[in-house]
Amino acid sequence: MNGPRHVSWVVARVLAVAVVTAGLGAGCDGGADAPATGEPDARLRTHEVLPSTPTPEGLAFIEAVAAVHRTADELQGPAQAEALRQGLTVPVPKGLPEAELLRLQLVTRLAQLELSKPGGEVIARDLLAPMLKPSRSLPLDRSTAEALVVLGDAATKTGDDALAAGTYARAIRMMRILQQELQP
Amino acid sequence: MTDSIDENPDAMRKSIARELAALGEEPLGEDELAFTRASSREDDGMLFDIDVATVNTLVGWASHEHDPGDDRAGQPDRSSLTEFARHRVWRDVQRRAQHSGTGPEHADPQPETASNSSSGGRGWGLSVIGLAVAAGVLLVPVLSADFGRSEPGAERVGQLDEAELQVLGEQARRGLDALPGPVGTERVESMAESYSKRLESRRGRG
Repeated sequence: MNGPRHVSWVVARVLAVAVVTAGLGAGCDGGADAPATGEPDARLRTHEVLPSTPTPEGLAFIEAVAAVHRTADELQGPAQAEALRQGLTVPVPKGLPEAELLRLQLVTRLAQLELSKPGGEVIARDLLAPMLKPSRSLPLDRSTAEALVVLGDAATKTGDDALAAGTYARAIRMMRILQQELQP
Repeated sequence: MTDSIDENPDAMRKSIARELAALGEEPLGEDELAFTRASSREDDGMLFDIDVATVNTLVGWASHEHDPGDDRAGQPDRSSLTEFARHRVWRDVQRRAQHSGTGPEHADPQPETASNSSSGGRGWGLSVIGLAVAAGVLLVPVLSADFGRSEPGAERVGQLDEAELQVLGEQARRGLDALPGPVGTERVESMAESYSKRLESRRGRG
């Protein structure tokens, strides 16, 4: 961490974008029509992921995902990507809203990996874009912010400036909300 | 720069030119002079306290940002300003925008020519936008397109050019870095640990 002064500075900057994005429309009800092609869409709908009632099945899932990440840490290249893909095949038990975050983290990491390869930006974008559509409600969590940033990077690399601009703006707005929640 | 440029513009212009020449810099353009005049008025006699290096860099950025014919090949290095310097600029921009009563969202998105930018408020507005963009404060969507006139529910940012998009991406990545807490595998392990404790606690109650 870079200290509270740095955080304040980031908040100030992020606030600027929030002013921009929040001033663009009256609401985030998600009922609006999708913007015309080529126009950045900075809509952001969020929901909180509340802690669920813990179960042995839920714990087994989370530990399995953690093991996938640990395995991936020790691998590189295609083997690492394969490990992450395997993580996405782990069945999600019922009543575990946290799974949404865990799966998003896996996909984000996979997308980051693809993004580091020549020509992998299209795969990265296609992995994340459906999960992060502006019309969808996104979990209020740093995982979502990370995913949005990676999608923005992928969109930039593919030359989809509208998607990149809208996605970065959404990421920053998400971070602003998270920062506000962290304020005492 | 303690003399008012409004009181003695020619002398002030010459003085500034001399100072810049001593630094090996070109004389100020009309936009920059307009900005200096506006700054002088906005400060009500207070010293314009952004250091010379910061101003020079930002003016350079602003000029590039607003020159449609610019190929950006000679664009100043954005990393030449420290984060603290950028912070100061941003705070200054915020303060001036508040004092002027014209929030950045009301800024005229159209680039100005040298002939009309020297006429007070518009020149100042342009300078604020230029500084804001240069300082990476993400007012870039204000510069272009028709945001603010979007239909309710359809939050949109305007079309950004390549440099503006870079700034936006950089801000997003920096914001991410500033978020506290574990990341990656460590975060997932932390979630597992927390969940496990809750499960144990629940079992203990049962």
